[in-house]
Amino acid sequence: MKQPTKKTVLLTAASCATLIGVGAGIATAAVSAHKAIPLKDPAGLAITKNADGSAKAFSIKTTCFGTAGCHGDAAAGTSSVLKYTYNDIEKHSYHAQLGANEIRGFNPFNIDSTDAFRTGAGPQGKNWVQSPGHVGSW
Amino acid sequence: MYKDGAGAVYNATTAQFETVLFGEVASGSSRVANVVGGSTKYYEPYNFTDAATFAQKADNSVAGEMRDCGECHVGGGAMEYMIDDSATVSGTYDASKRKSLREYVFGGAVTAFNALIDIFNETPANRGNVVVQDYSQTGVLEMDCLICHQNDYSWDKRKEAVRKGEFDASRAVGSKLAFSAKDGVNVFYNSTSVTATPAGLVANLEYKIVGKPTSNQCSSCHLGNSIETKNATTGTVTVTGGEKYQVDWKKRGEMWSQNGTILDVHGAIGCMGCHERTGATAGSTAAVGVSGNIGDNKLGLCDPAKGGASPFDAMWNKMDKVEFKDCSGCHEYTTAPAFATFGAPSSKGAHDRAGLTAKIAYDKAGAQVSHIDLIDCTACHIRKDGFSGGAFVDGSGADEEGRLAVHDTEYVAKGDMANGVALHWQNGKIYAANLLTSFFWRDMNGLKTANGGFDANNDGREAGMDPLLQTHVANINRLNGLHALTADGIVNAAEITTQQSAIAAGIRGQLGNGTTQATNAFLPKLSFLMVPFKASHNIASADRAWGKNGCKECHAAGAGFYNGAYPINGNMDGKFSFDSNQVTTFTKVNGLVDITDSHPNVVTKDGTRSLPIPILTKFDTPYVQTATPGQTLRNIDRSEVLYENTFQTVKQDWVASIQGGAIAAVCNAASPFYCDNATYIFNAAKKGATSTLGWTLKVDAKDSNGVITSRTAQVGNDMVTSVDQLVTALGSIGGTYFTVTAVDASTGLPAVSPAVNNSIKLAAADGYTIRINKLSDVGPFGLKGALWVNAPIVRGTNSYATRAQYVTYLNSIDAAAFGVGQTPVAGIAAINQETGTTAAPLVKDLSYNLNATGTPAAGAKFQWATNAGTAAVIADAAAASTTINFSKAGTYRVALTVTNVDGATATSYKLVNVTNPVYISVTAPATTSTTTTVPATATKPAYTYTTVITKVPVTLAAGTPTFDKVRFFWGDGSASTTITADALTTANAAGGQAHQYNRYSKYFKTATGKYTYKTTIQLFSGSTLVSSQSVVVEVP
Repeated sequence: MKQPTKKTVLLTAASCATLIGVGAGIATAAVSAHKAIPLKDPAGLAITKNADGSAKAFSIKTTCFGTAGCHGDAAAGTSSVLKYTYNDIEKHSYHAQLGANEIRGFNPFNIDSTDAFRTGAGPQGKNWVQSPGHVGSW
Repeated sequence: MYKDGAGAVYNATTAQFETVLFGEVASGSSRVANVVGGSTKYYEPYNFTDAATFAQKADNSVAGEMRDCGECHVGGGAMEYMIDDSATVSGTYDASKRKSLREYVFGGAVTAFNALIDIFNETPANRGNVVVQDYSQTGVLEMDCLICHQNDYSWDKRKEAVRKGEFDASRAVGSKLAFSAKDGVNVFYNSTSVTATPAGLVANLEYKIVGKPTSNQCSSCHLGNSIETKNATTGTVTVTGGEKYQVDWKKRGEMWSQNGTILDVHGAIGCMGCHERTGATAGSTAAVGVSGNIGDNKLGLCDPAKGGASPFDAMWNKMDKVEFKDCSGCHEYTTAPAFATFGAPSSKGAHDRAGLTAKIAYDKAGAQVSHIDLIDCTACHIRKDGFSGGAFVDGSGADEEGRLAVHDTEYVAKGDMANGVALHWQNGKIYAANLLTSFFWRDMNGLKTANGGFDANNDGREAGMDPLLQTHVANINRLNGLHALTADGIVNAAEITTQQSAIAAGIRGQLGNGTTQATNAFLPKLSFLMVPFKASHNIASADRAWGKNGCKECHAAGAGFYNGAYPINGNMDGKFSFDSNQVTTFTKVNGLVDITDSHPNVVTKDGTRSLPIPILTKFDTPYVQTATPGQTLRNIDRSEVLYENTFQTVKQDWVASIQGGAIAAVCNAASPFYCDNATYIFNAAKKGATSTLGWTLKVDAKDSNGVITSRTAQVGNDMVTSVDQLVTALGSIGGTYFTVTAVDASTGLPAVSPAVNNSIKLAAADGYTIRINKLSDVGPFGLKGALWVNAPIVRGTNSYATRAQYVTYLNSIDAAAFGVGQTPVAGIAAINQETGTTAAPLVKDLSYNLNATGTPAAGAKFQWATNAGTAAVIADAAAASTTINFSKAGTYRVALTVTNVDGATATSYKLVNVTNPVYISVTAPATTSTTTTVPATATKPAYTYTTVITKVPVTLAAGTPTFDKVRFFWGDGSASTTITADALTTANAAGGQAHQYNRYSKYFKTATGKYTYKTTIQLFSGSTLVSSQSVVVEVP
C-alpha cells in the first residue's frame, strides 16, 4: 500500500479544519474544504483503480472518520464536533436507527405488559409491528 | 426477525400474560431460556431454513427494506449492523454489542437480515424470487452523511443502486463521485471529481459539503416534489426526482412546493429554520446523545429536532419535540430565545383580537381553556392547496415499480388537498391530518387450524382476520396477469371478484400447501383502514388562516374545519364500488364493542375511547345470504374523526359484583358465538368467521389495603356456543379474588329450566371489590355496560349526548355570545347614593358597595382599583359587584376596568370623599329663660334681668369609642366645660348639659333671629381624644 504524500496530508488537514466550522452549523458551503479527500474502502485502505478502470466504492465510515484532524478524532477536544466517531453518530441517530434499537420482538402484544407499546393498538395481531420505529414495523 | 423474544405465555396461577423476553422462547405456558450450544442466546435471528420457506412466510424483511426503504433512509442501524448474538449477554439492547453485516456469519441461515423477496427485479417474471444477500458482494448501507450534507447528492442514483442491492456503490453514485456501479462494491469513478494519486484516489467535493442541510437535501426524501428549481429569469421549472402523487404520510414532510413555488410561508427559512435544535449547538457535549439508548432523551449529533409526536409515526417517537422550536418558540415567546427566530412576527395580538386566547373552550378535563390551548397552530394555518396528496394506499397489488402497494398514482390521490385536511385529537389537542385509507386482503377464517381454520399469512398464530402477505398477493396478481385494483382508475365488484378468485386459487401455493392449508376454508375479504396522518407543513400566511374572517369561518354547518364532508374516496369518488360480501370491517374497538374502519389510536378528546368510524356503506356478516351490490366508501363528515356518535367514557368504579347484559344466543346475527349451522350462515365455510378464539377478559380486584391485582384470561376455545361454555373457557381467572358464573340475565341467578344462562356475573370475594380493566374485551362477554357509560358534554346549562347535538351546538356558536369582538363597557353605579356631580361621601371604616353598571359582554373580566393604596380594601377586586372599605379619611379615586375576552379594555372612574365617622350629635337643645326681679334698694330701683340657660343634649351613636370624660368647647368665648361620662349621662337625663351662652351680638344672626354657636364636643378616654364633633347650637 502506498502512503499518502506529504501534500495530500496537508490538504487533508486543511479540509478537516474547515469541517470544524461546517459541523458547528455554518450554513454556507465550505470553501476549500473537502477538496482533496483520500477515499478509503470499508477496510480503511486507500482505493486504487482496478485493471478495468473500476475501483472499490468508498466507505463513509473510513473515509470521513478516523483520520487525525478529521471526523472522529479523539484528540479534537471536548467542545469539537470532530470528536464524535461514526458510531457515536450512527448508533444514536434516529435517521439511522429507525427503531432498530427498540425492537420488541415478534408478536409483542401483551395486554398485561407495563410497556404501553405492547398493550397498544399497534402491535395487536400484526406481525409486522415489532418496534415503534420503521425497522420491524414497516 | 428473531427467534427469541417472541410473543407471550400465559401463567394460569397469576392469570397474567408474561412477555417472552429476548433470550427466552415460549415453551407451552412457560418462558424458557433460548439455549443454543449450551448457553443462552440473545437476539438469535429467526432461521427460515431455506428460500422456499422464506417465500411462504415473509414479505418484507430488513434485507428487503435495504432495497426498498433504503432509497431514502440514510443507512446505518439495521441496514449496517446486526445485534451480535455471539456477544450479547442480556435481553436489553446494547449498542456496543453489534457486528457489521459485512462480518456477521450467517452460514446457511435464511433470515430476515440476509434474505429478501426481490420485488424490484428488472425482469418482472423474476419478481417474487427469494434473494439471499451476500454482503461481501453487495456491501452494506452505511450511514451516508452525504445524503444530507452534499448539496447536489442524487437521490435517484442512490435509489437505482439500492434497488439492485449495490449498497456500497450507492454512496459513490449518489454523491456523483462515481458514474455508475460495476457491482455492489465496485464503481467507476468520475475522473473530474476523483483523481488518481500515487496514494490512491482522492475526491474533490469542494463547495458541495454543507454543515446545515439545505431544504433540497431534506426535500429529496421528505417532500413529495423532490427538488424543484425555478429559473429566476425564465421562470422555467426543473423538477428532478419526486413523485407527483406522493402521499403525505410517507415521509412526513409533505409537499410544500408546486411548480417551483414554495407554498409554505416558511419557505424562505428552509427546513432547518424550524428544525434546527433549540438547545446547545451540535458541538456542545451536554446535549448530544451517543449511547444509542433512547432513554437518555438526547438527540444525536446530526439529528434535527423533530416536530410533534403522532401515534401513527414510524420514527423514534421518544425524540419527538426534543429541542424543537415549535411555532410559539418564534412567534409567541415571552423571553427572547437564544435560537434564531428570523424576526418572526408575534401572533399574540392577532390571536387576542380574534378571541383565540379567550378561555371560552374546554380541555379534555373540562377546564376552560383558550382556542390556542386546545388547537395546535398547524390546524388553523395549514392550507394545502396547489397540489395533490394521498387518499389511498392500495394494497391489492404491487405498483409498476414493484413496490408492494400503490401509493402514488393519480387514482389513489386526492386531486385537491385543499379539501383534504381533517382534524383529530392527540392527547386532548386538535391537530390537522390527512386521512389516508389503506386497503388490503385478509382472511376471515379465525378457527384453529385443527378445527378448519386457515393461517393465511403463515404467522403461526390462530385467530382470524389475517392480512395476506403482500408478496403473495403480488405474486398471484403477476401469475394471473392482474394488477392492483386501482390500476385503471376504477374499482368494481367484477374485478374484485376476479382478483378474489385468483387469490383463493393461488394462496395455498404461496403458503406451501401444508395439510391444513390445503383443505381448510379461505375466506378472503377486502378490508379498509383509515389513518389520520398528522399534517405539519404547508403553513399558509396568517391572512389565510382558519378563523381569519371570524368565528363563523369554522363555527358553521359544513364549514370544513371540524365538520363538512371529507373526501375519503379522493379521485376515486364515484369510481369505487363493491358488493357488501366482498368487504369486511377493519376491527371492533372499545373492547370489541364498536365496529370501525379507522385506526384504534384515533381516540376521543379525553383519550379514553377509540373513535369508531365505519367507512363502508355496508358489509355482510356471516348471517347475510345475499350480498347487496353498489356499495362504496363513505365520504365521512370531519366531525366523525373528533366525536363519537354517542358520547361515552370509561367506568372505573369499584363494586362488589358485576352483572353482565344478555348475550344473544348462538346462530344469530347479534350473537358473538360460534355458529356452524348452515341454516343461518348459508355456507358452512363461513363458520370460520364466527370463531370465538382470543376474546380476552381482564378484571382488576382491589383489597382492603388498596392493593390492585389484575387477572386476565383469554378464550382458547374457538367454538364457544353458550355462556356456560364461555365461563368454562375463562378457567380460573378469578382465583381467590372473584368468581365468574353463568346466570340468567333477568334474575342474576343460575337459570332454571327451561330458561338458559345468557349472562355472566362477576362477584368479588370477601375483602375485595372489582372492576373491568379498561383494556379488556367486553362486547362478546356482555359487559359493555360494565365498562362504558354515557357521558354527555355539558356546556353551561345545556347537555349534549350525541355528536349530532354537539356539532349543531358548535355550529350555532355566535362570537358575540362569547364576547368576542364586543366593545367593552365599564360603568360604575352610584357609590353610597352619590349623584355623580360631587365626590361620593363615604365614612372611614364603613363598607360601601361597588357595582358595575350596564351589560358587559360575555366573558368580560372586571378589575376594581383605587389610588388609596393600603388605606382601602376591596373585597373582591375581580368581581362585578364588590365592596370597598377605607381606613383613612381623604379624597380618592375608584376605578373599574372591564376587559373583554379578546383583550379590549374600558375604564371608568369615580371620586369618593372619605370622612371620619360622626358619633356625636346634638338634637333640639332646649333653652330656658329665667327672669329675675331684683327688688329696689335704697340706692337702686328695682330691676329685672333674664338668664338664658341652654341644655345641650348629646346623642352618641352606636360604635362610639369608649370614653370617660367629655369636654365642651361652647364657642361663645367662655371657658370649656369638662364633665365625666357619668355626669353626661346624668345631664342628658335632665335634658342635656346646661350652659349659659354669652349673648354677644356677634353671635346673633338676623336671618334666623337667633344666636348661633359652633360648639365642639370631645370625648376622651383618659387623656386620649377618641372622638370630636362640632355642632351648631342655636339659642333664641
